[in-house]
Amino acid sequence: MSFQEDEAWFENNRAYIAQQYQGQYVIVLGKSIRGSYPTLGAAFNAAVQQFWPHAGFVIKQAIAGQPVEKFGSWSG
Amino acid sequence: MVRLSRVQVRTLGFGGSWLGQVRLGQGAIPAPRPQTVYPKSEPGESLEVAKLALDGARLTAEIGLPKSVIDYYQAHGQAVPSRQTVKALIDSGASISGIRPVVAQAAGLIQTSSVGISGVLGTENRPVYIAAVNLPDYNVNFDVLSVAGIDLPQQEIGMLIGRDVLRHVKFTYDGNSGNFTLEQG
Repeated sequence: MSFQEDEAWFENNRAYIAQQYQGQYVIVLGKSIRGSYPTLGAAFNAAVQQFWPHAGFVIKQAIAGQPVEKFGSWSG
Repeated sequence: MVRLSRVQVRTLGFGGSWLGQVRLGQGAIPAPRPQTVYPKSEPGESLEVAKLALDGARLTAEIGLPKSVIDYYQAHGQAVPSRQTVKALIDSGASISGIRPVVAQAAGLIQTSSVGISGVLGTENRPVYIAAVNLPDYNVNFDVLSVAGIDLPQQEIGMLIGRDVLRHVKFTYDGNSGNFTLEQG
């Protein structure tokens, strides 16, 4: 299972995951949620201890809208 | 068609090479036709004041791996990728911090996601890495910070510090004295 597939799986199920995990940071691996944590740091450290470097993992915040970031005061 | 002529405003009294330069943020997607604006100086203005106005708030940043990853390397007797020291620029127009992808690779950062970056030419998907970031001149440290991999137009800048960092610090920009400060709360 690839990193890109896990990211796509999260986006396809974002609304449901956001409802279930409500703003928590979730670890996605193998098209499933492998853990949820209140902070990015807690999620990352747990993922490193459990999965890295044997498997790439995705970390996303379980919020409904897909965030779009901006760079530079002139962008967007 | 009306053709507008370029109007030159007062320019810096030193260093003619600064003439005609303008930096509107450091975004990943360059604007197609940036408007030419000349920096102004006031009588008696110091070099620091003019430099801060032109260059923006620049500082040294150290980018490396979070402690949990370093612990893994050390527990397995492996060499830890070296921390990268770069020149950073504070950009309050950026909603997330960013680094050059080559810096991320050199520091051995782990990609955990990707994010859409909005610019004048549309939205581009970029990788998101987790980094430990230290700003040693101001004793500001983050062990786990998400940073986007972006191509920065200015070669001397390796990192943009966005509002995701600024939300955790007190940032004071004093244009009158040509100084800025950062304090971690």
